[in-house]
Amino acid sequence: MSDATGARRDTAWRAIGGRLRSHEMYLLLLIVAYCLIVNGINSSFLTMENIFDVLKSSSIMSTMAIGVFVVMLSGGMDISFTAIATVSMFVTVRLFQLFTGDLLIAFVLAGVVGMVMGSVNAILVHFCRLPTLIVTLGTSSIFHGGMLALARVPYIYTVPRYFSGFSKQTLFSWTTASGVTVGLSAMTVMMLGIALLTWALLRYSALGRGIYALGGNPEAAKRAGFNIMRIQFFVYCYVGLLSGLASIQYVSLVRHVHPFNLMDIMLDIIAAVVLGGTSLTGGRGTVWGTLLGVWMIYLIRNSLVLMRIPSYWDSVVIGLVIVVSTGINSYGKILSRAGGKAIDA
Amino acid sequence: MSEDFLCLRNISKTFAGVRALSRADLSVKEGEVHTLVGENGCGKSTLIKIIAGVLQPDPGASIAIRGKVWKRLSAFDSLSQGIQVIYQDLSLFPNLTVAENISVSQYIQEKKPFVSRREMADIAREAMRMISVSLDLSTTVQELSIAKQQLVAICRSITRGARLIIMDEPTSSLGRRDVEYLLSVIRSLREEGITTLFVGHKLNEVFEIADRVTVLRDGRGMGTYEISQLNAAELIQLMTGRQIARAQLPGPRSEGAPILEVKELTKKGQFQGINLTLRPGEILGIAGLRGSGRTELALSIFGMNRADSGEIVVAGTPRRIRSVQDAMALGMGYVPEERLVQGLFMDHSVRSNLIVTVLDKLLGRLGLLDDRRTDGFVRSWISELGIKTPSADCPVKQLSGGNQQRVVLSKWMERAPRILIMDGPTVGIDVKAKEEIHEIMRTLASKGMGVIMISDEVAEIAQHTNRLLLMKSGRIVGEYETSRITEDGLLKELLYT
Amino acid sequence: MREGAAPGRGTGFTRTGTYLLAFLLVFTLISLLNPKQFLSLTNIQQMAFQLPEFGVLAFAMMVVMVSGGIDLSIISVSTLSGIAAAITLLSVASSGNLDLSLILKGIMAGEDSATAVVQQMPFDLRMLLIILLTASVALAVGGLCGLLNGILVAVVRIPPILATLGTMKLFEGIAFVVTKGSPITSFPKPFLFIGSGSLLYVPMPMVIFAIGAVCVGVLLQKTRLGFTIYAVGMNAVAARFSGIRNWGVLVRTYLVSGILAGVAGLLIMSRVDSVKVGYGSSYLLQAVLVVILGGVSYLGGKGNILDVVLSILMLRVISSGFNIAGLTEYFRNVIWGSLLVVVTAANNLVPVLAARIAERRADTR
Repeated sequence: MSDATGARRDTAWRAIGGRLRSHEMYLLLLIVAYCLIVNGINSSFLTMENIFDVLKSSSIMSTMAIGVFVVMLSGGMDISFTAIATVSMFVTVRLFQLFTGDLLIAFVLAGVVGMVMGSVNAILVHFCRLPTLIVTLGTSSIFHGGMLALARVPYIYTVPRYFSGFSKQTLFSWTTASGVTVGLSAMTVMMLGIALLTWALLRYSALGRGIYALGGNPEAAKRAGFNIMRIQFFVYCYVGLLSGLASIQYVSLVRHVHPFNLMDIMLDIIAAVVLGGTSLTGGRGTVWGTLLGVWMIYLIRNSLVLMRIPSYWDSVVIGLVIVVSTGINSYGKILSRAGGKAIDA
Repeated sequence: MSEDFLCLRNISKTFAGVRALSRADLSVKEGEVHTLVGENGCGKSTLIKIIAGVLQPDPGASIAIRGKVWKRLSAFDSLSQGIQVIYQDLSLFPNLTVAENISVSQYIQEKKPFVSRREMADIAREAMRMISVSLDLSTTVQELSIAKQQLVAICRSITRGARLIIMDEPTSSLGRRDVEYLLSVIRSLREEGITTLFVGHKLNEVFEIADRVTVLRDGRGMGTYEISQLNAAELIQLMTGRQIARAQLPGPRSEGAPILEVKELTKKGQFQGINLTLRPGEILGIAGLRGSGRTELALSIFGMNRADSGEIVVAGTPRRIRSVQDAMALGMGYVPEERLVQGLFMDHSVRSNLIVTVLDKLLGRLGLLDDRRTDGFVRSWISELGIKTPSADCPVKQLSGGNQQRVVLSKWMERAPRILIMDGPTVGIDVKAKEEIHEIMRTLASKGMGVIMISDEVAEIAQHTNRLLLMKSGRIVGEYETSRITEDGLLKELLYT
Repeated sequence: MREGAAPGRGTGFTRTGTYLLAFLLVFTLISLLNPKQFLSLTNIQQMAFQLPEFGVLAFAMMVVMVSGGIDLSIISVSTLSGIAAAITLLSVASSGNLDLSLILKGIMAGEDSATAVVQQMPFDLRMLLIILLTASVALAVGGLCGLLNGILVAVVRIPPILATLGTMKLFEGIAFVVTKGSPITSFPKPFLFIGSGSLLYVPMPMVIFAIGAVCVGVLLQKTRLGFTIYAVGMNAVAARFSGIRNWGVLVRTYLVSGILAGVAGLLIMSRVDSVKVGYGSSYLLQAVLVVILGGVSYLGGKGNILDVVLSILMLRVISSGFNIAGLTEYFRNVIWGSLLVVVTAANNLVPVLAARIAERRADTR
């Protein structure tokens, strides 16, 4: 009896130990270190207000990143998600200009539109067996170009008022000593909710395990009897859904619809997901890591100006971050493999 | 008197003119441990695939499972009857835990939407208990050794409701202790009433664990026997059954200096203290089963797998061989074990495959590839090595196995290597082509090339080498003049650990 | 039916013949739609002047794809090369000698390069040297960028998608830092000859494009490097077993790609008389499309220059047709995207279908 509990305790410790040495932990430490450095240069950085603001504004990226993360877990890749977000956002707001509704329906509608586009990707990937990168490169143009071609005016500046309410809502708030109101934004809550849901899905549902299995060994997944079609459909529709939801968050924040704004962050999000430890080939990665990756990228993008580095350097830094982090990842793999197989390409 | 779980009669299978199986029979009794033995290329894998429903036998075959005859056995049917095959690649999910890998089919079969970690752990523990195995449930499979991964695969078969577990050469990469453990696991399976069909090579394991054994030779069934009624010599005789036709082998051209010497070459986990000498004009055989370190050793000599310690001496001078280019510069060539993946560019033409190693020699003016010289070169090698192909531009994947191997050989020939290492040169090639490749080898040796041939086909080694080294578990355990050892004796040495 | 000594010729001339046929068909079709506009001299000239920069970029993508990878950074590299060339050109042209401080000042100031600085210079030897210097700078910068890509892919072993994604951002960022986002314009007229002049009625860019096609073609089919690129792309393991230094081949592949991107940068810069971050961003999708359309497998190891050239011609003709039909850029993107999907699907499904038909035939025997 004591033996069993002893064994269980050992396993628990080992799990914690493993987690301490994990990729996510390194990233967290890196973020903390970075924040401290920035704060050292400009002490207005690490304030409560700022932290909650970062959480709020990065929710959009986080929501989309979670979707991309799930796709990558399954061994695929989707670069059409920003196009999906843009189209969902446009269609939804345009419809709401003509008919009245409320924000909840807006979210649902955008989500559904996103899922429909996602299912197109799923069909092409599964039934036509197309390589995911190339297919989503194509559908990105089809969705985005299609929207721009069909819409007479692709810009919307008169967004219904109730849209912005969401971004201003907070779950609870307080006033700091300096008289500033700080609140946990509804956007953040929504994002955290999605993150939690995704985590639970991946951990506790057969579908979620199937995604990991498909990413880990597609052949074995097929042989084991996983319903590959269902997994693929889910994965691409999920990223479509989340992109749609994120797009409404975005509209709520900026109160206008612009066809190109969301497109620019595509590379940032992919970089964030990879930074968070998700393997490009599939089967490895965590929701938490993805969130950390997003925060890292977002912080870099938005803190350079505080350090009086002009914004032109943004891309350079982000590019360096991608190169260095993937480089460490890849080179680390080689070093650990050095003692292993003899035959290697 | 237990019933037959599986009864196969008159199984034949022909692939593109090659007869892999010829009217073979196999019957496996319920609850027994049955082994299927035979040399490489005897048709074992094909038979397994037919049992698994992955391949269909030629017409005239009869397959009965638990008394019920199946006219056409699909993979799904086979699985539903409780037949589980554990292939050499194990089909596990490296990124998932032990518990999950074992229990994964359960929640797929039961179509449950949610998985409970506790349930998975319970299922896994139950399976492990059945075969008296204990593994840490929370480690991911990729962190485990091959031996432990195999245990996971077996447990997984159990949870899938296996009635018959077929294991395809499970001990090939295992050390002595792991083999013992695996055999005890198989015994536990027997106690649980699960039938095991064990495809094996190593005779001492066969004698230790099997109830009955079926022998295949060149695609034909040589009968099924109670293990108690056979001894090793008889079994070997059944497996090889060939008269030794001693070919005329040229001896080493001179008693002179060895072209290659290996001294105390060691690499942790792969091979240890290897010593060998190769003389010009000599064909040296390295006999060893998969997992004995033979391929790793060859790759080390060829520059792909740097050893930890030891020395390689080429033509009297010690050399540091750190890359394939180094090895090639020293006059070495290598015909790899896996022809399709390591030796050929499948979609490229015969011509392209032939010239890949000698590009430097084909450069004409301005450093550009000279078409005329290439044509001449390609033509001469096609004829010299007898490559049967409709044209030099034919994609190499359309050639037969024997011809493909000739292409692989030819691409080294122009470099006129002093040392040629051939790993499993006639695997998957029909008998006639095999002979022809051996003939080529003899010709090369007679011209002064030193040849190292790695093989686990006893007949091949016994008939076509001057000397041979026996390799087991990373060490050279014996050195023989080939003329002084019998084929049976060799097989016994090879297959007994 | 004779094929080259190199792999990747597909099924030889029949395949290229199909492409030729397809091109002629497309050309005829579009001509028929609006012959007056399409076949007009201005239109043909416009196509001839604009096609080469895209074509050279496509060659860059092609070389990398044959090696089994992908290069997402080609646009950024061409922009960065163009910027470096522009700064060199203007600094040297204004002062008359290669003054490094002037170049540095150019980087620091980053203003619209002063028109005041530029004078109408006669086409003389000095100018020629300046132009050659400029071109060398463009190629050198392109080559350096390509080298970085190559090292990341071949030595550090980052998957090409990620490596070139990162460098794309990096190069774009550097370009942004240098120019602060504004264009650099007003180059000396003689320089513009590269992108806007004609040699005996043949547009200069076309000449460069043709030379480029020949060079890449010779490289791929006739040199040792080209052969090894096909080999590594087809089967990197077998390449290693045959004594090929995979990492060396890959580094050189991306180097070539970078140099070609540099050439493209030169062409763009001398045609539109300015260089700016963001030019040509729509070319990336089209480059992938045209290369895949041209028979290059995204897995590597196959593809040939003639087919790609015909594919480029086809695409530009279609694009011109779009122009005349008044299709917006957005609608064109839809078509390109759809074409990409359809062509890749066809490429993928045809062998699968063929195999299934063969299987069924074997089964019933």
